[in-house]
Amino acid sequence: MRFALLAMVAAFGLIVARPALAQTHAETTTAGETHAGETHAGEKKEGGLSFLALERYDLGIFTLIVFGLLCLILMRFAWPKISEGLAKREAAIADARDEAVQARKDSEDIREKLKGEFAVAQDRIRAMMDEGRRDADALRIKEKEAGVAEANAERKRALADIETAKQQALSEIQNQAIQLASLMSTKAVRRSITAEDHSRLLAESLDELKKTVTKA
Amino acid sequence: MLAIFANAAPADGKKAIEPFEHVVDAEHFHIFETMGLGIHLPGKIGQFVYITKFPIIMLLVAVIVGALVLWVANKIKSGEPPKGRLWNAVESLLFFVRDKIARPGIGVHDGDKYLPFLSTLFLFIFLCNLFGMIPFLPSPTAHIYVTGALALIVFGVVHVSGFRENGFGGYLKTFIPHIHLEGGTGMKIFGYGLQFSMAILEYMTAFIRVFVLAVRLFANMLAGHTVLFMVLFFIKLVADPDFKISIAEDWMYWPVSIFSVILVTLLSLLELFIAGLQAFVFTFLAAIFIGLAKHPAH
Repeated sequence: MRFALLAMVAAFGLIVARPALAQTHAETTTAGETHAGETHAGEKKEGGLSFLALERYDLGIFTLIVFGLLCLILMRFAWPKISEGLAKREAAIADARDEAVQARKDSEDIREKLKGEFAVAQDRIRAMMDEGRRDADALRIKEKEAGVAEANAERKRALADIETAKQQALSEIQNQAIQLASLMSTKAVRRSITAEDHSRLLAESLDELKKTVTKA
Repeated sequence: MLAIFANAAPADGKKAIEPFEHVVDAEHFHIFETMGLGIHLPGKIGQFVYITKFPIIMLLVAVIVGALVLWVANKIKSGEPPKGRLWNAVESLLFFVRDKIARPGIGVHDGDKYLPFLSTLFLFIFLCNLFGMIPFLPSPTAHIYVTGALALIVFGVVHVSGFRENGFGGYLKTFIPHIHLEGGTGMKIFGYGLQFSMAILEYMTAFIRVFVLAVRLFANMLAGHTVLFMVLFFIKLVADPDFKISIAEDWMYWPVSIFSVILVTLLSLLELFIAGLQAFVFTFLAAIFIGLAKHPAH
C-alpha cells in the first residue's frame, strides 16, 4: 500500500516535471540570461577545483567554534550526569545480581533441606507401610485362628447336642421297652401264656415298639 | 558532452552542468527550482562572516546533538533503565561509541575518559552526514575545511594526550624507531641513517594521518551526493532543452526517469549506510590515534 502510494507520487512528479522542464527552458530563452556562471556566496566560479571552495576558510573556523563549544557544553553539563547515572545503574545491576545470587543460594539451601525432609518422610512412610502390613498380617492370622476356634467350638457344641439327643432317644426307647415289658408282664399274669400267646404278645410288643420309634 | 561536465560554457550554447552545485556551500536552499521555490540567505556579511547553508546546518546539528545528549543525560541521571524509542536510540549510539570505538581503540580505562569527546565527534559527524540525505539540504561534511577542522581537533587531542601520558621528550621519542644493527662502523652509520629517515617519516605520518582523515570523510560525502545528483540529472539530459544531449529522443524521458528514480532510491539507501560508516571510521581512527599516542608500540 505504502509502496503503491510512493510509486504514484513519483509518477505524478515525473508527469509534472516534464512540462516544467520545457517551461524553464522557454523562460530562460526569453529572458536571454543564464545562471551557468552564477556564484556561490557571491563569488565567481573559476572551474577546475572551484568546487572545493578553498577560499571559505571561515567554515573551518566556524566548525572549530561550534564543535568546540558543543564539546565543552556536553562535557560540563551532560557527561557528569551520564557518569552519575551509569554509576547508579551499575550499582543497581550489581545489587540485583548479588540479590539474585543470594536468592539462588537460599533456594538451593531450602531445596537441600526439603530434599532431606522428603527422604526422611519417605523412610517414615515406608516404615509405616511395613508396620501396617505386619499389623494386617497379624490381624488376619488372629482372625483366622479365632474363626477356626469358633468353628471347632460350634462343632463340639453340635456333637454334644447330637449326643444328648441320642442319649435322650435311647433313654426314651429304654423307657418304652420297660413299659412294654411291664405291659406284657401284666397281661401274662392275667392268664396262662401259651406258645401262641407268647408269639402274639411278642409280635404286638414289636409293633408297639415300632410305632413308638416311628413317633419319636 | 565532456565540455558540459567541465564547468565551462559548452560550445553548442547549452548550459554547463554543475555537478557540485547542490553539494557545496551556497547562499540558496533550492527547493524545486523549476517551481521557483527556495530560501535565500544573506551570504557574506562583512569581511569574515558568512551566513550560508553549511554554517546554518552545522549550528542546527550542534543544537540537535546538544539537546539530545543533555536530555538523555537528565534521563540517565536517575539510574533507571532506558524507556522509549528516542532514549533507547540515543543511549544505543552513546554506548556504541563506548563499546565499539572508545574501548577497543584506547582501552577500557582510558577509553571511558575520552568517551565525551569521541561520542560528540561521532554524533556531530553522523548528523552532518545525515542532513545531506534530507531533500534540498547539503551535508556540511562535504567541505574539506569542515572535515579539516574536525581533523585538526583530533590532531590536538591525540598529541596533547601523548604529551600528557609520556612527557614532552618522551612522546617525541616514541616516533623514533628502535633499530639495532650489528657490525662495524659502517653498519652503525647505516643504522643511524635508517633510524633518522624513519623518524622523519613517523613525524610526517602524525600530520598525514589527520590530513587523510579529513580527506576521506570529505571525499566520501562529496562523491556520494554528487553521484546522486548526476543519476537524477540523467532526466534533464534527455528532457531539458537546456541540457539535452544530441542522441536523446523524446521517448527516452520515461525509461530514463524511472531508471534514475529507482537507482537514486537504492543509492540513497547506500548513502545512508555510508553516512554512518564514515562517522564510525573517522571516530574509530581518532580513537586508535589517541590509543597509539598514549600507549606507543615502540
